[in-house]
Amino acid sequence: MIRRWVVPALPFVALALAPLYLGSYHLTLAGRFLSLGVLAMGIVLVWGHGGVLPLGQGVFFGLGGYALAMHLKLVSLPAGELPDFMQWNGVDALPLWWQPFTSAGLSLAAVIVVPAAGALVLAWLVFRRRMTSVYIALITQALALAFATLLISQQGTTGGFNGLTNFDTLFGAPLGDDRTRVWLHLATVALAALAYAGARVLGATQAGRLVTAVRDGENRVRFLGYSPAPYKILVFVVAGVFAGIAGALHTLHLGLISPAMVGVVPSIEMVVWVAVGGRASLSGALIGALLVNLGKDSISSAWPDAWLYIMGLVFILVVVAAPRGLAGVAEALGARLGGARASGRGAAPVTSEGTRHG
Amino acid sequence: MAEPLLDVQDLHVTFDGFRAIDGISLQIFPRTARVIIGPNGAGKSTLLDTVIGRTRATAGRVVFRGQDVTRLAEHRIVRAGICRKFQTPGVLEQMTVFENLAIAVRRHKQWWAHFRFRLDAAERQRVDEVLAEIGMTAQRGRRAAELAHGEKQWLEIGMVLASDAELLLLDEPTSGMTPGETDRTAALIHRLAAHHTVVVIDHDMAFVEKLAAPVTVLHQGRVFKEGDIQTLRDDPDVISIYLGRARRADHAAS
Repeated sequence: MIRRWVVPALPFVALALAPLYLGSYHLTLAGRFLSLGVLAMGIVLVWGHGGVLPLGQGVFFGLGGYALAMHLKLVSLPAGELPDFMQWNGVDALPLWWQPFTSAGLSLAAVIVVPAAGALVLAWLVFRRRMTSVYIALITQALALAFATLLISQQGTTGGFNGLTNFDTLFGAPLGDDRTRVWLHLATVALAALAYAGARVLGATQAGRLVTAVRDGENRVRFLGYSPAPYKILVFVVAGVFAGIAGALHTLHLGLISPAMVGVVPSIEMVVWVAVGGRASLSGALIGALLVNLGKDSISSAWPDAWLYIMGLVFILVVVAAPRGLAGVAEALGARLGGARASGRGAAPVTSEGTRHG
Repeated sequence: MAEPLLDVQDLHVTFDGFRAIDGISLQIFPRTARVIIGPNGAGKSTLLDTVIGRTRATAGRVVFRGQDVTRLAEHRIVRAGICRKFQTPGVLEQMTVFENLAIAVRRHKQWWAHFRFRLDAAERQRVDEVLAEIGMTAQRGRRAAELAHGEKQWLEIGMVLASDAELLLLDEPTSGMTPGETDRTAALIHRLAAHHTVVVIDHDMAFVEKLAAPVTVLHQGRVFKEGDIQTLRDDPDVISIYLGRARRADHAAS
């Protein structure tokens, strides 16, 4: 009980206290990276537990992010006025699909419901047809490209290449205010902890065990009387919701959402965070998202062009040298230090999915 | 006689023009055991594949308990009461022996019934019974990957048993087993036949003899002969299909 719940809770408590020991710049960074960690935990469910590599999580991140950004954009306006980019593009009335986002409640619901519905439709189509992981990786990748392209092309209603920015208030509280930032940070920590706990609980249910069983022996499970598709659909939808929440939180921390965060390259980056941290480990994914983004932040401010090369190199190194990521390295070290259980889990072979496609 | 439990009616399966099954009819009655033998490529595994829906029939029907299951989805055929052990053990390597059986034993196999953590009392008791039946109670906490090959075979037989299917299809249950393990498996299948209907495919003649069940010989996708193993073993036609051309060439030479 203590090992299972109290120990994992400690880092979240430490993060919740961050406003006491971090300056405002680093507090925002921590909040941003933690939001991305929520998305990364979703990838663990689909890729690590389900054995299906998702290369389009940017889409669900974007759906959640844009849903909230549209609301923030609308509430910062005087009544009856249109967002700036609409005026520049000659749009003279608020499009119908923007109108629900005047309501805070509907917008918050949309942060969860829209990515969930999108993930459900996509997962339903690909998993019912028994597509293999490689094709699903390609399809999700194509979807990320299409989504980013669509956002850019519809400049008058999406803000185009620049995305949505210049938000003033969040539910009436000024966004730049220190107190708002602390509350936002706490909300991010709470949601991350909730996502972590939710993913752990889901993994421990019979449904969660079947997700892994389907990964390791889809046919055996099918010929024991189960339809494998619902379990894959389940984790894919949960991962979509995690990505949507992450997108909304990240938009709040950064004050911006744009197509550059939802397309092909960011979607691949998301998988790299998880590969670095360990694709079967929730805490590994959180740490991977944190470390890789910390690296990105410091490297790209020093040499803006070098980041993609370095990330590619890191990815190759991880796949070759530590296919189970930092979590795997930590486990192996722990097993060596512990000594006794030499043939225990630390030495477990990597399942073939993922390394092959990663 | 009673209604057949499994009624295979003039089954045909064609792969790109190759007739893997070329008109097999077969009736299996409740609480009986049947052994299917035949040389490689005779259609034994394809027959089982077709019964459980992994391969689709080109023509003919598979009727189980009076219900036509020929076109049913695989998992629905299993839920109707047919479960199969595959030729290469299909246990879930990353899970323990208990977890493997726990997945097989659940009575409700719809996904929405699985937001609980534990098996219910009846299911747990059934897992214990199956563990005792396959003689693996001591191994319940071990990871399946750590098991010996023969133990994996027993575990998979246990999973098929735990699924509570009425018809058990066992594809080469003794492959890779030592003679001692083979004997234990024969005794196990004997016990199972008291409560289930069992169809066994195997190559090992010594094992087939121990099963003491009616034997169907398949050859080139058809039922070649039926009878008991003592008679079939000495049947010159059966010998010739097993030994193939080499034997026929010997005959011609002598």
